[in-house]
Amino acid sequence: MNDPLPTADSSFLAPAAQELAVVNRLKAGDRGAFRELYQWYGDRLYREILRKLPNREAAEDCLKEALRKAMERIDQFEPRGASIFFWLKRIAVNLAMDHHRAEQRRRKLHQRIDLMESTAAKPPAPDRNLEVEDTQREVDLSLSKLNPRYAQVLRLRLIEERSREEAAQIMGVSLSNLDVLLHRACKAFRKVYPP
Amino acid sequence: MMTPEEQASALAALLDQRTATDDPTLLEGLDTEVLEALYALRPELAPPARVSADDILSSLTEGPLADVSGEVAPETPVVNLQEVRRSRRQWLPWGTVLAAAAALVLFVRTGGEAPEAPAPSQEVPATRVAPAEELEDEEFEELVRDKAPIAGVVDRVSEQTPDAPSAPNALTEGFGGIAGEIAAEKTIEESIGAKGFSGAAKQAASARKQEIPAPAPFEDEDDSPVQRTVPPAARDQSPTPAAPPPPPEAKFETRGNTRKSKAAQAQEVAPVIAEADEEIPAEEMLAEEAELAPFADENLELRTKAVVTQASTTRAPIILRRRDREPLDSLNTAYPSPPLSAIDLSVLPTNVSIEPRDNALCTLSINLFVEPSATWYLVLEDSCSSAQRSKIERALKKVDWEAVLSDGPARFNLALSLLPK
Repeated sequence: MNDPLPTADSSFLAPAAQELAVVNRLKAGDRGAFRELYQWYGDRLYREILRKLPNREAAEDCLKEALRKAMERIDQFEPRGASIFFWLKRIAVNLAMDHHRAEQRRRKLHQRIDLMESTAAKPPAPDRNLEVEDTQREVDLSLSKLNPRYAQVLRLRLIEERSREEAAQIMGVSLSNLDVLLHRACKAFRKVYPP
Repeated sequence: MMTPEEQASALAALLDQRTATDDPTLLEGLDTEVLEALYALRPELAPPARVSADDILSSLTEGPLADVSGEVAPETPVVNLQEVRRSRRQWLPWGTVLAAAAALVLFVRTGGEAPEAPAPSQEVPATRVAPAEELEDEEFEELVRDKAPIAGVVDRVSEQTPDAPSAPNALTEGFGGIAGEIAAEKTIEESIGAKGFSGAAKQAASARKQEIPAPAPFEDEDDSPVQRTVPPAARDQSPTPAAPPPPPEAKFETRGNTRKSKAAQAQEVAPVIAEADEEIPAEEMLAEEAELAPFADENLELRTKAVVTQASTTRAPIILRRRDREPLDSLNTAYPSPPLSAIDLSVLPTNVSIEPRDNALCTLSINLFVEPSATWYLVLEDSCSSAQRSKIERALKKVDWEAVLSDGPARFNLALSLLPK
């Protein structure tokens, strides 16, 4: 299975010397330097946030808030040989996790209320207290809760990025059936992701 | 609304694109859940964020990139009013003793020979701080220096009696500044409602009040109860919209102002503009006192920011305008480096408006601007309610403006936040 996370890929990073110059300009209050930095990493950060927070509006708010916080504390950033991208990403992902946890608490509260109101016995809920920070593990965990066919089509089409034809052949279904299966699988996945 | 089959086809088409799309025909038809699952697993297919770098820059409130109209306004340390007051309290006994000594010297001198008063047109000699020189007391010098901002007010009060210069001027001169300044401080404190004067200072002030005729009331359409000091000739030339400050009609000395040479201390003072305090019913006053109690002095945090110009027109809740509604930036263009000059503190607490903001009970910015003619313009937007206005006015009266302004630059911004404890 391919690793969908691009974190190991560092080809998108700006040259270290260039980045250091931009960081120094940021610390000196050069707003043009921020525009440059945003052009380099803004979109990348946004997509990192989307992995944790797939809602587009929430991810945009999170991106804005993360960069605001980072730029207000840019004086505290020390490169130490690492790209500023990873510092920004850490801030952004932490914010996204905070948002997710808050949402989870709200959901749990609603579940408890539903449980109290319900007279019928329900199967035990999956353990939501598991603090899984790694996105890949979170995805795997969510997939494991799905119908195996749904999980398979998601893996083939979205994670392994196989073509329609290839995926349909592996699953032994027609192309149109594959599309419908994928559509349903997406809906089911969103209900359990993030876990 | 697309059917599930249509959505499935659209999703397949979206996946086949393999790049981000903002095509509304592809995105709008899909369920949110489907899209979010897609974004979680394949974020590169999501449309770009609808956030620009400028959006983020404009949201910055601190740090080197914070928006101060492109320029960075260095934040000066927070002025701890309590410490300033404590420091003043330490000086107060000295001031009292010196005032009494000066009064004694005056009494002896006026009993012996009357001092010669300068002719009204004659430029006032810059060496009128006689006792300071005679005593050669460092602490005394320090006290005079501390009182610098109110010196202009003393002189303006003196100016109200051009026909009888000998008695009041002799008093002021004889006191060598300090007693007169304390008396003037009393006048200021009365006008801004402050308290805490020593008995000696009160006596000096009352003695002075008896000798100095009351200043002529301000004769314009505004029936202000605030005592305003306007040279009679200048009254006819009170500022009009879009007009520069009127030419000076009288010379005023700003003794003790260490920022200038003594020869340069003779300042031209244009009429002081002030607005009337609102009449507040007694019950309402009591209610407001109760409301103000939670943020008494120790809860007031006064921050000063140096040289905030255009930022105050864009970020501050209050926009500073001249009385003629000329924007602040044009004032700055006209007077890029106005010198600090005589200050009439009495206008400050009466010209403030306020809007609630964020978590603070109140947040306001007061822009103080001194023009070369030494006229304060502090006219604010009238967007606040009368209750807010009176509340903040009363809170501002507790601020030690003298301490705040004594060492301030000629043009600066005061941001005051009243935060609950």
